[in-house]
Amino acid sequence: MSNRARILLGITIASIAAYLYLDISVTELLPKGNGVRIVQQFASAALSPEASAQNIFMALLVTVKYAVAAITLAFALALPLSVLASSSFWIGCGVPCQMLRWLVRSFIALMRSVHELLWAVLLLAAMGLSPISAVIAIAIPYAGTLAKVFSDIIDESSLKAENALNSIGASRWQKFFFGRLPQAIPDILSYAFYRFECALRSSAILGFFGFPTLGYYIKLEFDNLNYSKVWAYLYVLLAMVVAVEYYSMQLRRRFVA
Amino acid sequence: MTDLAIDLQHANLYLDGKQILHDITLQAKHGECIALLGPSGAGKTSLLRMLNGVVGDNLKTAAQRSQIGFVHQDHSLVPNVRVANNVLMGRLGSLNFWQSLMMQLRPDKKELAAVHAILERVGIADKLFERTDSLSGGEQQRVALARALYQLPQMLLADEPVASLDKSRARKIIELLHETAHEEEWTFVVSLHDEKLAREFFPRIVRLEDGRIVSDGDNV
Repeated sequence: MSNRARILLGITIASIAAYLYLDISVTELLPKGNGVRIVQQFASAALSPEASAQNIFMALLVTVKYAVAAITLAFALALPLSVLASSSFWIGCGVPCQMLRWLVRSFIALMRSVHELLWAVLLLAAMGLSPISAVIAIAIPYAGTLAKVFSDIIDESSLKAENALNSIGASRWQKFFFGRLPQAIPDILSYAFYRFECALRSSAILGFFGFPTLGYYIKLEFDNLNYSKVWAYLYVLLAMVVAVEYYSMQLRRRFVA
Repeated sequence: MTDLAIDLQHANLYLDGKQILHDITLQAKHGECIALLGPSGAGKTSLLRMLNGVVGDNLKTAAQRSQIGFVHQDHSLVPNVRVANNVLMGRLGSLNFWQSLMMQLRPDKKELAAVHAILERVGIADKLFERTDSLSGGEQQRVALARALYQLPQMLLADEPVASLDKSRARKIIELLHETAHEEEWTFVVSLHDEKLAREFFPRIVRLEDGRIVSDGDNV
């Protein structure tokens, strides 16, 4: 059996075993007791969404503001970290450089190993319900993820231009910054745009902790059983994600293609 | 300056423990044009890299390499930047990092005028601000030559520069390289597959087989 077949078989067995050990029964998928009525009310409210236009506008504005601020901060942190974490930046450098690289990689792993909701809990306790808590809570794990992916993109870029610059006497930094990094920029931007979409969703969800984003109003109206208002905010969230997807596609075409 | 631009005496090249070149003796005067001929795997690329000083016993410093232009078979340009930026990279070897950063981000009018003049010489002046990967293979090879021209080298090495082009385009590029080397008085060494092209343009042809020079003589 080939290595690939062994890996595929292992994944298949693990997937089946996970479902078997979870002990899920199909009947659990059906709502019980009051659940049926709630589902019916929630579903029927989907056709009659209603909410104050001012609330929607404010929630949308705050959600976008948090996401933009967070992704900007994450990008600014991630770019230098990704360069320091990439193996190609340190080619020809000795053991101390490799140690520094692994230190940076460990730092990046620490940043992204804690979810933004957990960062939010920690920052809420430390800094209170201020916008900066929300922005930093999203920015830290996003910077870790961006830095990890950016450094992989940089390391996978073509060596050809770098080798050509080496043959004409360019220095290590010149080869990296003018030969390798420019080739990685389109994929770096493309991934950053995608993470912006994710940041919008994270920003909305932080509302569940009391930040005045879309999630705050969704939770508030859900707790008050105002399903029509819940649907209004959900539609706005959906429209926002679709709009950002459309505009990020336009931007990617313009800057990346 | 010695009389010889190239002076290899019984040189060997080992890469990853394997001997690639055997007992290579090659001398060339300044301004001489040489074609390297031989089948794939004969050692032409390795010999050019040894002449460039990036492999072998006599590695050249960055400053020495900045005097050697190198045109690669696959152009080896940065695909997603403007043609002007690729040409400007020819002088990286003679600039420090901050100078080269400024030159790449905000080239001054004088630098752009010099690049434009070189692109005019290689026949693609109208492509100055176009993205490099939007150009055809032949045009990209001209950009690679323009980068070498902007470098102001004393020697030009070219590794199968026309392997991916059709015959008429290949001939034009070799003619352009040969003319430029002649005008600039560069020592010019090019590896080729096409014997006819080599015979048409090069007074001296060196043949390689299995990492050895099997003949070195006038093109008669």
